[in-house]
Amino acid sequence: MKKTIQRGAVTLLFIVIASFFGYNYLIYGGERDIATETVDYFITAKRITSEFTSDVQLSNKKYLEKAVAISGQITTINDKEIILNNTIICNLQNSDPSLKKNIVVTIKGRIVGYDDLLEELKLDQCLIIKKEIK
Amino acid sequence: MKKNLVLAICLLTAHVAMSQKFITRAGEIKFEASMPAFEEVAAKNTTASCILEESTGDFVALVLVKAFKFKVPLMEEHFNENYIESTLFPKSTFKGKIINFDAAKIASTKMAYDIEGELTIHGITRKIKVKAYIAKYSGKITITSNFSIRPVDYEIKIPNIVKSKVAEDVKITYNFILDKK
Repeated sequence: MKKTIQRGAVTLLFIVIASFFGYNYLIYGGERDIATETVDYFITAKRITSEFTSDVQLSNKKYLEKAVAISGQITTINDKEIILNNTIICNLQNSDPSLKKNIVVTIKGRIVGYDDLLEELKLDQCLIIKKEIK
Repeated sequence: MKKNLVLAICLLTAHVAMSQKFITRAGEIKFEASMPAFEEVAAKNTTASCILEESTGDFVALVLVKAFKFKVPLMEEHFNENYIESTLFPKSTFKGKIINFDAAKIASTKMAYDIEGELTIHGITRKIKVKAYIAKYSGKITITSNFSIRPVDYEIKIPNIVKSKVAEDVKITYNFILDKK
């Protein structure tokens, strides 16, 4: 009798733990963390822009969703939104007050897609991996 | 001769002033397809771009599908991979016109307009007509609207297993604050 209760309690506990982890995975799991991912491509802002302007479809296949490191000059800063070489829009995860216009940076982020309306390439989950202050 | 020159300059500047573009790259688009008693199915995108040609009322907007954020990452993954197929169709666009748009008449209080044009989602283009509210203050034009679309119209397949959890009509709301270019 005692044994069955014990066994039941253990099973119950197991179910509770399993469902807790299962639920956690369902709600929070599967999120990408670009910061810890390895960079798929290192490229300059100029180069990637010309690749997208010459063939959007091919570039989409190559870069979409990828973690890419792009180096270029900051042309606009708008809190978390920084623009490299006027064409690459990067949404930073955290705003960085040390960034200034005209400095050259390397940004790692996820390629979201090419906006052919404004002819801009968009990235999100960006972080600065290198900056050169002149 | 001088008169003609002045006239020409006037006409030229008038033309430049007339073709005035208003743009944004931080437009907000939300959609919701929740069913009562089930988990919320909703996402938000704050990086939509939009161009409004003030002289003609031509209105174009573009949104990158992968930038839609859901509360639940797994739902976002399913949305991208199984429903909207964002790798094949990375963007959704709208190309159209604000009917009877007159830049001189828009004021700081919202006014209702009809916007008619072609909406492309999931690679399928359909004609739509939606109501939008437009206002202008401190030099910025705000356009807000909400409308519904049916995923079946855009060949977005929702598997039977989740059919009861996803509404047949998806409510879309957008809010664009356009700046003079």
